[in-house]
Amino acid sequence: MKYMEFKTIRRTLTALVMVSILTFSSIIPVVAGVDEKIGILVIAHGSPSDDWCVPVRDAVAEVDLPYPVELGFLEFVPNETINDAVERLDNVMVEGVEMKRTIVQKGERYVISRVPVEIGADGVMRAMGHPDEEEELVPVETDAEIILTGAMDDHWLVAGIVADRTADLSTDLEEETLVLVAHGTDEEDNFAGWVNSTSSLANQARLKLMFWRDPAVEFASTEAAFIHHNETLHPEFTLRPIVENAIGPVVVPLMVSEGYFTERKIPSLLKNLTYAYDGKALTPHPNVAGWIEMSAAKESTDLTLQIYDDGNLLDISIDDVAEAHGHVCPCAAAAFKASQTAFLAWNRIPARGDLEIVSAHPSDGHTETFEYILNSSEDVTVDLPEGTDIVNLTEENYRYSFIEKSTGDMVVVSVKDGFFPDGFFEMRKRVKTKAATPDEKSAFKLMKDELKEKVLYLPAEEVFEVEFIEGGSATSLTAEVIPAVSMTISTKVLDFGKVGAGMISEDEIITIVNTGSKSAKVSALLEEDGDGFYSEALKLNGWNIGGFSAVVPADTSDFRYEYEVLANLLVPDWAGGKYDGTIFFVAQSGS
Amino acid sequence: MERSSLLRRVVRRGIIPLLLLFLLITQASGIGVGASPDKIEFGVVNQRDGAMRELYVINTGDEAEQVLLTVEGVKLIVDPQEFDLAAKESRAVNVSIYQKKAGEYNGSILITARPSGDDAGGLGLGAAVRIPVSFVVTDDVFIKTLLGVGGSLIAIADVVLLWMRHSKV
Repeated sequence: MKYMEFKTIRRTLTALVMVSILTFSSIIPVVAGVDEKIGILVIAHGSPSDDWCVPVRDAVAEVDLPYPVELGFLEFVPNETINDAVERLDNVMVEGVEMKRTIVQKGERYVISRVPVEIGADGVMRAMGHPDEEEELVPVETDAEIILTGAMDDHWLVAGIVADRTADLSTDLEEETLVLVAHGTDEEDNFAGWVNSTSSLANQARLKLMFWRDPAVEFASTEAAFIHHNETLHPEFTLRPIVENAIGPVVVPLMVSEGYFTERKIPSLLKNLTYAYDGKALTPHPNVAGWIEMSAAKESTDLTLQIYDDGNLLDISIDDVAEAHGHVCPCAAAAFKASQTAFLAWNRIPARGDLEIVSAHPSDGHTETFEYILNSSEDVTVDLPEGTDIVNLTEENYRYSFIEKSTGDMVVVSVKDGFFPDGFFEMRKRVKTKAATPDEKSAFKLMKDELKEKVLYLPAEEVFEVEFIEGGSATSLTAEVIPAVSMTISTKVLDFGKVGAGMISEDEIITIVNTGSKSAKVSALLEEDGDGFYSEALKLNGWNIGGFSAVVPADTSDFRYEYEVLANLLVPDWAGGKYDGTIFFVAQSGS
Repeated sequence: MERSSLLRRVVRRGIIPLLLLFLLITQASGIGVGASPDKIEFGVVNQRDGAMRELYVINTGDEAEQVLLTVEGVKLIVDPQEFDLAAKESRAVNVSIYQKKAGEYNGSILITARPSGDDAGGLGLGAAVRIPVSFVVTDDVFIKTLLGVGGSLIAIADVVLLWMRHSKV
């Protein structure tokens, strides 16, 4: 048996929601290769009170992921244990696969525990150091690979919840202190983690309220406090004296759900003190489902793209970009994800040498990422929107055009309006010009990290606008193909006027034009010559109609070569009256 | 660089779109007609199979005209044989062999164009092009004969070889 030990889970008891990803590989005959099926297991602590469990269940129900999601409680909730959840996931993941497989009760097994586990003398598995108070640990039996994500800890989405709870309590009438109170731990090994995580959340919440909320809410300071900790060793984190000494204390509980701690324990510890408090926990809040989605996405998002290089298909991952650029900065992340998004929009794999990227962003992170993907600096150009530069950026700088040279097809990927919070670029400018305060620098860095995570792990359609422009849809090509043989007669009717019998008419000019692409042998053909008048009388260049012949060259500059034919009538003595007729000039290819 | 320069770059890049192919037309006033190809060579055609080609007829003038196709010297079917074409308009005509007798044939298709509408009288002028047509028609008898002669020669050769071997022994 293989036991997985979680060192950090104990310290996150107050925010005990974890996400595990179960991947189940099944061979599907129809599709060559291995199809990886994924299920999401959300782990929460649990409580005997259903009121505590309901908001957690609701939060999990809000999760929008393309995978089955199940909730398992560590303890206190029969029939909703982790084992139950894993079993449900196994069933869901196996169903629907064309070649069904039975879960074999052998091979590697996993046990999910909050703390390192040990097997006691009675053969029962329990958490180390908690021989009596903990429930028996039951191994999870599954053939699926289990990937454990982090706990809520100090994720920015959790900080967002804390900021919202704090804002609800703030009167903004005087200087206030945010006191974030968490469960804590008596174990010294884990206590530092509790302190760091809780302090970070409090500070993030303060910065969010100060810089990213309109209207801004300013707090004089923040404090982290704990309900359970070694007060002798760490009196500075004891809740009551902190609140007692704070200016305008706003007390926010850092608990997953409302229950015993929020409703009874904290109020009892602060009895007879003046403070703002509403007992609201992290749930219900949309950020909880958002955090579960983000945690799952971090493990399941495919951050690779494919491109041909001289006929060879390459896989380029975000790790490759990180190695080339030195790290994954927000710019590199945006450039990579935009490229991946563009390639997917193309519905075919582009090739190096046939692709050009025009970026509106001047940063090295963008340019080096694009150059790495294309393995070319010539095919990457920067085209800055008017009025922008490396210091003065706007949302318009996050626009990238991917152009396939051979077809002219273009995919334009641009970050959606509103993706960047208000004031982001002004703050960036203050940071770049070293005019920012320490708080501004911290707030900017936190926001950059937040945006990077969004770019990489949110669905692309939530981050980017994608426009596919088919090659030439903006410009149409027309061609005039000149026919091989063509004859045009500029003169429509010949009128010789009045001519007496036995006399010769005035000369008339007939202009015939070779409008074909080749030289033409031209002859004449007479129709509708009832009395044979024109056959006898009409002379073309001095010849009878049957004898007329000319070669008219082609003019390939404008495909018009004019040739003049001298026509007159030699009226026979027998003629008299009006004669109608039609003469055709007939062109035949001279080649 | 200005933002607009991106658009210019993209346009310059030769974004190749729909290729609108116009079989046409140098602008010429008057009555005019053109055709492609300038000759039709069917080659060898089995009398049972027949053959067909397309001939594009184009009004190269600047007004509507009546077009008439006349077959000269050979048996061909042209479809359609007569039609109107607006200025710059073109139309495909199917040309197929209607000749059952084996032999080599040379002829032409005369395409004449005259202005649509009433005849104004006097000596009218029209444009025309002539498209030479050639083909050879073969029949089954010829092929059978060829196969028969070939088979007979092979048989004779076999007999001669056997006789020579027998003589040596």
